[in-house]
Amino acid sequence: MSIIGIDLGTTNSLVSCFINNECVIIPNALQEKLTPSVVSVDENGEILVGRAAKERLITHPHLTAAAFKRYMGTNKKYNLGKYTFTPTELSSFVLRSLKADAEAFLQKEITEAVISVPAYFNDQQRRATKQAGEMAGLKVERLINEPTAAAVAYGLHQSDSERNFLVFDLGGGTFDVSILELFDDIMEVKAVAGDNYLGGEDFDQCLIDYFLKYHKLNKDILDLKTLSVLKKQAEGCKIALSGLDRHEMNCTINGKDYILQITNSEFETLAQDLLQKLKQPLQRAFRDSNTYTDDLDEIIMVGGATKMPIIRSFAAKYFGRLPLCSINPDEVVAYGAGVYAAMKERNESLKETVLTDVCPYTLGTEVATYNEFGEIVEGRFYPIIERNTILPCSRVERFYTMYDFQTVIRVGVYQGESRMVENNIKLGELEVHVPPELRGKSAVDVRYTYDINGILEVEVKSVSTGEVTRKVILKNECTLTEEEVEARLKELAEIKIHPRENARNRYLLAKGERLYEETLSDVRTQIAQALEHFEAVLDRQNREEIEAEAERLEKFLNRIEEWEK
Amino acid sequence: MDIWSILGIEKTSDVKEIKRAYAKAVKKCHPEDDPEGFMQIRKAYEEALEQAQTGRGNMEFQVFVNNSSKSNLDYFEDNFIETVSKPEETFDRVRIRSNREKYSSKVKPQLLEKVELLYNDIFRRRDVKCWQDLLNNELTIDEYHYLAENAWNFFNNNYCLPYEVWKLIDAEFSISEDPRFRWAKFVMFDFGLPFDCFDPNLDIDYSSYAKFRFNAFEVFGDGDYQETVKLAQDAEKIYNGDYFIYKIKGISLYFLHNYDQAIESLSKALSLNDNDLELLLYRGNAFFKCGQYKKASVDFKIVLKKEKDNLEALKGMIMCLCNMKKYGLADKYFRNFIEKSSVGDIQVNILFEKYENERLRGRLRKVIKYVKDVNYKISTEHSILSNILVFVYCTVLIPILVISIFMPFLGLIFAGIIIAFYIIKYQSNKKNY
Repeated sequence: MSIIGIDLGTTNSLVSCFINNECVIIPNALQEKLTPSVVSVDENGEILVGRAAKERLITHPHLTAAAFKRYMGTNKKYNLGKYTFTPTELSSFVLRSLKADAEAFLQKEITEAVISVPAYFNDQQRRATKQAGEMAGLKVERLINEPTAAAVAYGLHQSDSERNFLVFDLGGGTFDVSILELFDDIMEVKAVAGDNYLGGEDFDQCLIDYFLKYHKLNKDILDLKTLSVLKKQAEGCKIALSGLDRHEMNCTINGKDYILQITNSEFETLAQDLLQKLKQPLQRAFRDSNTYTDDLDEIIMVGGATKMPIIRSFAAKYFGRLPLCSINPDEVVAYGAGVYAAMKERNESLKETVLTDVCPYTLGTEVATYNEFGEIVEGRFYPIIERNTILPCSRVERFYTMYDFQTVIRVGVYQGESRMVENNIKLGELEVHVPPELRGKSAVDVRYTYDINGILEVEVKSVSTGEVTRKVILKNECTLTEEEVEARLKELAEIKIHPRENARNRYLLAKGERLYEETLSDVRTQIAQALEHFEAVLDRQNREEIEAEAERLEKFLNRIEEWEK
Repeated sequence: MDIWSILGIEKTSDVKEIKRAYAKAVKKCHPEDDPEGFMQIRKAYEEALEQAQTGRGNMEFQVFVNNSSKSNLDYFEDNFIETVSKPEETFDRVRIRSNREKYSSKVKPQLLEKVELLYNDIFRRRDVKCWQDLLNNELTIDEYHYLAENAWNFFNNNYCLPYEVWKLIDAEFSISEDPRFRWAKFVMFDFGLPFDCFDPNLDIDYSSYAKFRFNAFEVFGDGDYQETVKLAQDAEKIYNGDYFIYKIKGISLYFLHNYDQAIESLSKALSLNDNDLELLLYRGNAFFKCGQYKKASVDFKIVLKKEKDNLEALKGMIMCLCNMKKYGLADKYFRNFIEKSSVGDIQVNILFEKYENERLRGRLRKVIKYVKDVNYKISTEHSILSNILVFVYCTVLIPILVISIFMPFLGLIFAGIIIAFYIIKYQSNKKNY
């Protein structure tokens, strides 16, 4: 039995597996390694995932959801036609599709997975990710921080005695920095920092904004469809700029053609604010881990956005050295997750490596203190486990009563970096009873235990009575009970997912539809004819004929797309 | 169990050995299989590393504060203890950096080269965009961190910067909150020290000029006017195209009661920048002190032309006019002054009281006559009013008299009363005349 590694990304997801002492990225039904993390519902109420769904982002924006990873762990609802999904459920569809790809590739049933999450995901978001795995029928053996996975991917190649890494992970929607140390088969994460709302898509947005500004267009008057087209153009332009120095965006709005030429240096100027935003997490990681660029042996670039020349030159300039990108930045995390899955299985060849991870944020409690005038000030945050502490860890602090004959101590559990609890995230609360005494006489010991899976257990012990109250912190509003999960799973099971073997055909049709909408007159008619012909072939259900026709249609559509650009 | 036996080694300060021992121990207690055991090892490891590193720490610590004075060192240590003992105050704890020496020796020269290159070119130095560019694009992360920590030190020595640049630096490094930084006031308030008067086409040592000027400004702020004048004269020797230096020199001379030279210096400043009303005000006052009221009033008048309600100028104008005995004109300015000034001004009030007395004495006869006139007018008005009353009485009462003829007794008595009343009234009217 194999455990698979999954990189569940904001824009793209990948699945990998360790076979024959080597990690392999498993291709999807379209023989591509990247599966877009997009979910769409089609006319028949069937769920589409990946490329086909991404094409429908333009033709059917109201029926399609993307970038839902950003809302993981929240109660945000996505209304897709007759269904309503949570981000967790949408993720489960992506995972289910990846699982199917892995099963087809490995020719066996898969039940376990290691899934990567951004280092900055909080407990709630991690829980939601695990739940998504379970909904997809995968036992989630372990969640792994994305940068950790990247380091695992590279770490294997360098088995020298002591090495320090920085992982610079700029994905579609998140930016993560982590600093790691590898020595004697110990991989230690020294610091992580990041920005949950900074990624490659922001660079697309930056191009879109410039396009609109250049042509003096008002974003509010554009319909969703036009915006989708524009988004695709921006993304295409960004990718093209990785190879070329100059590229153009074009878009037809209200029958008028708009074109904008852009060069890499212009792009760099436009993205200046975003580049500056990259610096803060970097500075924090360096400070927290007491590291200087000189201490680093490698700087690893991860995430599709690091393919942009402007990002690479930024990194080279800022670190004063060239970053490493020998493994495809898109695949590094999945690769590492696959390796880690194998480590989990204690596959012989990897048995020796021990990985220690850190807690990405500070965990603490609410306290009241006396100010300089002897007044009681409430609502202060008291850190118990500080960010970037090695996991697992357990810390205990003693707290005293503030009032005479106080019988109840309320221990709030918070996560965050602010001195004021109100600015931090409340994870839960415990109430313990203490014998009534004068203030400062009764005390409780509060122990926080944070395990390697990011699960926090809070234990409060009354010093005088020895009474112990324990709680595993769960965020109530978002966590479903087991019955609820069961019920929801049943509901989801009834929703049909488009069969994997038809994925390519479905994708071609969706792409054809998009191109039909984007083109005019003659070309349009040609596309319509081709699509109708293809549908007729599909109806005949002759497999060989379908394959041949699909091939032809794909070439045809690609030609049109090339020409349209 | 002591930390070294947990790690299974003898006490050592060799970091490599500690790491090796830790790695060996961890493999026996996998963090997953034996979290308790792992946590114990981890704790021992961290403690061992700290012991090994603080042994070296003190020495490097002194390197960090290298050429600064002993008090600085003490200060830093105090600060350090304070931050550690109050963890709730800040989470970005100050830490002793074990590899500081290695790091600063490499980063420092590169950084200084970059920053000094910018600072020493006064035309780039005064441009906030150049600083923005340096901070955003030119510094590597190590250099940035080094500068963030040592900004107070660098800018203590290199402080001739325009306000906009200070603002930028403060936004980046919060330098004004650092008690070691000497020039916090430059960062917090805009003193208007201009940098745009430097002409890039002239071959002049602007850097030393700017330094003299800043020093002059500094002592000027402290109230040491003698020193200000001296420094200003040194600065003047290097460059004579900057009104600012003449301004503080002039003002200092004014405060030193050296009015003639003050006027000379302020006139020079005015010839370079006639938009600065402060210059005119000081020169006006200086003229006033010299007794040249005419010239003073001209200066004040220019100010008032640009700024109608400038109290300082109004006051100067009043004083000049009073001294020139043009009370009529002063009266107009005084009323304006009273209207605009909520608190008033003792000097002006005394002056005006004096003026009022003067006026009263000078025009006493006129005033008495005026009062008489007014009284006469009032009494005349009164008599006319009485006549009208009498006339009304007559015209109304005559018909009543006619009616009373038809009532013999009552009529007679009534008529008698009316006649008596009329006679009394007539007599009283006569008395009035």
